[in-house]
Amino acid sequence: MSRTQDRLADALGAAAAAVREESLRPLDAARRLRARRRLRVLAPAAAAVSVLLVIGLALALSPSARPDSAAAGGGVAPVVPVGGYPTGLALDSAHDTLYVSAGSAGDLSMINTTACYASHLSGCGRVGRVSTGGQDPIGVAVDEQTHTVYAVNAGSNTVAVLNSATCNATDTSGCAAKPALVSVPGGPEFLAINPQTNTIYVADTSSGTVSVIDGNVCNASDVSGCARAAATVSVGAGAFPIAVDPATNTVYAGVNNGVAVIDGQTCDASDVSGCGRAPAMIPVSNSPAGITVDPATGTVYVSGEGHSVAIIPRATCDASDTSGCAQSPVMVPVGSDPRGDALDPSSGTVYVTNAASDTVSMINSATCNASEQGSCTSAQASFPVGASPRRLIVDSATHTVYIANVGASSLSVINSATCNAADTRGCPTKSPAGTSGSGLGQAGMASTCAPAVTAATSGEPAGALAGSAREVASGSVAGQEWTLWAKKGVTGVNAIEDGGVVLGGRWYGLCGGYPNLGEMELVDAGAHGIDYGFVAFSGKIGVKLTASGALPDPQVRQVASGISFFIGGLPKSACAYSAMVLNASGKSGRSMHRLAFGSCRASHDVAITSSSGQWGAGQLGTLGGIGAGGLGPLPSGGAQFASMQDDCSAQLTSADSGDAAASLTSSEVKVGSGLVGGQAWSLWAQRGTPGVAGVESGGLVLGGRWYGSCPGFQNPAEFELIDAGGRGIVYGYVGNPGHFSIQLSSAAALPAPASDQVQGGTFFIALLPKSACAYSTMQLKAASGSATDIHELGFGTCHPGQLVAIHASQGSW
Amino acid sequence: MGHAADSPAGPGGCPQPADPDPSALFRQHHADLVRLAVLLVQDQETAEDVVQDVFTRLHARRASRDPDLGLSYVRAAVVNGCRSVLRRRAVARRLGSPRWLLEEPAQASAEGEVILAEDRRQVLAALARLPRRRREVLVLRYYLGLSEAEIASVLRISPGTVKSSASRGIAALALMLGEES
Repeated sequence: MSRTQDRLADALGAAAAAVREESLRPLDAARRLRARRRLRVLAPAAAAVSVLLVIGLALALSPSARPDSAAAGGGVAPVVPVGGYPTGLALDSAHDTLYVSAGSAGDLSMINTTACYASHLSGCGRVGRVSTGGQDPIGVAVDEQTHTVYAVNAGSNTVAVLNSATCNATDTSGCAAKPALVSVPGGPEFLAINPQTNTIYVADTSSGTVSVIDGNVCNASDVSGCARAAATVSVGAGAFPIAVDPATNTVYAGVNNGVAVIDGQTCDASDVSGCGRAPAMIPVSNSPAGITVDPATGTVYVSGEGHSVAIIPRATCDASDTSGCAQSPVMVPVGSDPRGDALDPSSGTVYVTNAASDTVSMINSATCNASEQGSCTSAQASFPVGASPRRLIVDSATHTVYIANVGASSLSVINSATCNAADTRGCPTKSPAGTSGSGLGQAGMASTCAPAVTAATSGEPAGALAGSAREVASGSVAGQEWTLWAKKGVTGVNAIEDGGVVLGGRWYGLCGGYPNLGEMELVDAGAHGIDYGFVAFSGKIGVKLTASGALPDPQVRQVASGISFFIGGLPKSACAYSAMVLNASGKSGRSMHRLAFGSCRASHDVAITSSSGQWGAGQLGTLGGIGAGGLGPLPSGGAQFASMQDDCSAQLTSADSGDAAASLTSSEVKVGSGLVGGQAWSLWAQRGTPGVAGVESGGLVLGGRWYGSCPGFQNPAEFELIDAGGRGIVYGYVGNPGHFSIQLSSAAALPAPASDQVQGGTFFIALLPKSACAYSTMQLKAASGSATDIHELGFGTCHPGQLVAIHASQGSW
Repeated sequence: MGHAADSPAGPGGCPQPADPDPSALFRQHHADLVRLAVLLVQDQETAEDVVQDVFTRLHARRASRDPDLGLSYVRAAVVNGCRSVLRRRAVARRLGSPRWLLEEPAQASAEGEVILAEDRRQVLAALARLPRRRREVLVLRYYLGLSEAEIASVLRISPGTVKSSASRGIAALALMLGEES
């Protein structure tokens, strides 16, 4: 490979390695309604409102915020905001401190466990912080004998050594001291300590090793051995969760599809002779994510990505006896994507976080263990916590379970005396308000909903539904019977997305609340159009519709937990509405959705041509500005919304235009050619791609150079300006069918361009009177017998041989 | 969206066993798919959104038992999702939006700053300046190590175009980095 190739491969590998498994939000289809989304709507008013909202949320989640004490008395788990991505937890009972690694925030939070425990939450708001002297702390562990906190800086490949005696929740005098750092191989995430041998084991995810650090000479008071190279055990790719069983001196390290069993007797602080030996492996089909050993029953619990926890008998799978390691373990069904587990010996409960269900399952360790599996197969009790719970820790002294909600930057605090496998009376019954997801979404048309019937195919006979779906609601609207159907064997909104509405014996599809929590369709049902849709948040929902004025309120029906269906008749034919705004509000969320409609077709959903809006769940008290007033006036006439969604991905943008043309012509087909200003031009489209998309993937070749274009979206008439040296050259494409006459003007009218029919649209090109650098704005008017498109562009700096950058664009079409 | 890996029938026209549940496929490859997306869109949050969106879409289609939800297909879907993000950024630029509205990559994350030394950042910045297709080809070739045929299948272009895009992309990078090539 050439040096460039080497450097590229190296840089790509390093950039990819910066993405850490533990920092990823879990994948979950059910989470789609609450997915964190970034700002996506361009309407300035909407954007301004949303910035205020984001600030409001940030304040609500700031570390100084008090826990959700209002919720503490109800069926909601109290939460402590800690900020960042809380990924690792460790307790120092000697100093009453819970250390929480804040992931991306680059430090540890310290919480006083005598002032923030079980149902005593008065001190939860006071969160101390200490730097770990590195980037992205993930795993954290405390060796109480040496008063040492070990924190893994995943981003720096180091382990920080901090003094818990002088840097804890109540004494921060030593927090400013720079921690000693131990270097470990690539991608360390979690660690475990054997206090009996004073050994720290660090799982190095990328390198597939476990590093063995001698805690006798690398601790808070003696750092003489910290610089020494740590011994490593090769365990296999994806080393990530790790646990030590001091009783048998065994280290269990989860890797991809298994758990490595390391013999600590020959691989610890004082003896590394056996570290080079290949460890025994426990086959676990799902990647293990959490490991807990219950010494009372001799059971190793391994939660793995998927839906279950594996039960491994320690008696036949530890440092001294690995005869049973290879046996397939008993699997206990829990929630979705179990990520962490922790044992409360006093209540006999293994708590398991279900990262994708936002719940915690409780396994009864007395009736579901290595030797007794009576309760293993039945459904395990669970309770809701904040978004994306992963690591958790039990403080037996105060009967408290602290659960890190990575997605909500918070901790849930649970009283294990009243919420355990045998007694669930004290368990939360509701998710904490405002902590599931970010609480705000916005989007244009980026819906990834795939309803069984779309606008184009709607109105099919409904018979096809009967065998595969079940009716979930019915009623009448505008004198017609309606029924709502959910696909069998599919859960939640997906079921309805795959089912649909039956109206007058015909089948209409719909998107059930994605990405906007409120989704709507319009049916051309004759003299009176019918609207229907979904609102995907719980509780009683009010739905208001407006076009140019208020429309009749639709009937609203809750059809499943967190899902309401609405349907209503309209005063006029569906064809009379070019745009409509849906405002849905309830206690737990709000949605504003603005839709523009295309041409109507009898007994079909009217096609939606544009969509924008805002929605939110959780802390919507701050969502002023959305609701009755909407975000601004509806566009008038037939003009389209300016939405940032588009289908354009020009092969060359202004920044990289002017490349040698040879690379274009190898895979494209020439669809037009001519002369402009004495130079030959040719237009190329991607082979086999019809219409504007083909032109977009190709481009214009002029003077042996290649220029891209974005034809036909969002304004069907698009154009570009080339700084061609002397006089500028303008070219463009009108994506509407039919022949358009083209007029260009800047301060004054410009020469009429040559135009021709290409790929179903109109391509035009012209030589300008002056240099491209002389034009700061230009207007295009494209007219045919039936349509007029106007597009005005503002231009930035010109560069010879390149497209002039466009910095402003507006128009109507 | 096209199906990069089609042909449900195996050798002799016999149906092959159904591919694994997309959920399993995604969970197994989640981090790697996000890594692929990061290299194309340059920020992790957007990359996670892209992968999540693809996952959600395929999950919704699960009932249809698509026989071709293989890794190649999923990679193609992620690449397409990244393109959509880049399109939106391009249009935001075209519409002259204030900078804070653009879905520009966020500041490199803290750990990224450390891991990515200056020379690596130069390479990635140069890569980001390449045209979309060349960038995609180089990422698939030099990160995933895919063959020309595999890249052609993911990107739905001819192997010849893969070859020319790769060589021109490397040449352009070398030029930008001031190297011989």
